[in-house]
Amino acid sequence: MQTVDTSVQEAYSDLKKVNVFENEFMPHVGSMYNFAFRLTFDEDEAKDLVQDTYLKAYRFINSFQEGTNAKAWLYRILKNNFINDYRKKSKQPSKVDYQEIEQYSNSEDRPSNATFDYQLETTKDMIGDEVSNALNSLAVDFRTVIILCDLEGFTYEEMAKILDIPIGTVRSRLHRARNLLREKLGSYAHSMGYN
Amino acid sequence: MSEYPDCRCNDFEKFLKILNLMLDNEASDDQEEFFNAHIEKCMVCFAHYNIEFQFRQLIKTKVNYKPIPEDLAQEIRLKITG
Repeated sequence: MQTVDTSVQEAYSDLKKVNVFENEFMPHVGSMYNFAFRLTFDEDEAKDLVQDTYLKAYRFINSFQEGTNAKAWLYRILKNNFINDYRKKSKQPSKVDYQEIEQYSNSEDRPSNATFDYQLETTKDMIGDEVSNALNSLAVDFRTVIILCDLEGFTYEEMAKILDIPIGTVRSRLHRARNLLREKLGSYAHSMGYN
Repeated sequence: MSEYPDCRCNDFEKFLKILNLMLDNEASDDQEEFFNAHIEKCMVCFAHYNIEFQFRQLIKTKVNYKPIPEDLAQEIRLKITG
C-alpha cells in the first residue's frame, strides 16, 4: 500500500475507480473467461483476451456510469478485441458464412424439423461434452449468439449492442444457430443409435 | 425419422412467430397473453412449445462451464494497479 500523498480528490477518485472495477467489472470475470475460451478454444489465449479486455475497460473506466450494464459493455470490448486480434493473426477475415445468414429468410419462424423428434427422450441423456462439442462446432457468429442468449441471458437489445447488429439480425441469427445446433445434436443422437 | 407434426389450428403460424420470443423473454404483454391462452387450448402447439423449452434447458444445463484459472483475477488486479 502506497502512502497517500496526493490530494484528497485524486485519492478518492482512484479509490472510486478501484471500487467500480471490483464491484461492477470483476464479478463477470468467470463468464468472460468462458466466453473467451469458447471463442478461442485455447486457455492461454482466453486468459490474454480477458486480461486485455479488463485493462481496456479500466483505461476507459471514466466513461462507465454506475447503474448501467457493465457486463454488456465488457462483452462488447472482449468480442471486438477478439475480432481485431483474430484478423491480425490470421490476416484473413473470419470464416463465417455470411451468405448463409443472408440467404436465411427472416420470416421463417419454423424450427428445423429435420431432427425434430429426437430431443425429448434422447438428448436429455446426452452428457455435457456432446452438447459442448456441438456448440463449439458452430461458426463463430452462430456460436456467439447462443452463448450470449442461452448461456448468459442477454436480451436481444443487449446482444444487438454487443455485436453491433440490428435486433432483427440477432433474431434471425439465433434462430439459424439453434437450428444448426439441433441438426448437430440430431446427427450425434442418430450416430449413437438413439433414433 | 418422423417429424413432429405441424399443428392444424388456425393460429399455428402466429404461435410459431411468438414461440422464440416467449422462450427468450422478449414477448410483449399482448403476445404473452395470446401465447399462454393458446397453448392451454391447443395440445399440439403446447407440445411444440415443450420441445423448444427442453431444447433451451438442454443447452443451459449441459454446456460445460470452465472453471476460471486461479491466478486470473489476481493477475488482472496486479496489471491495473501496476
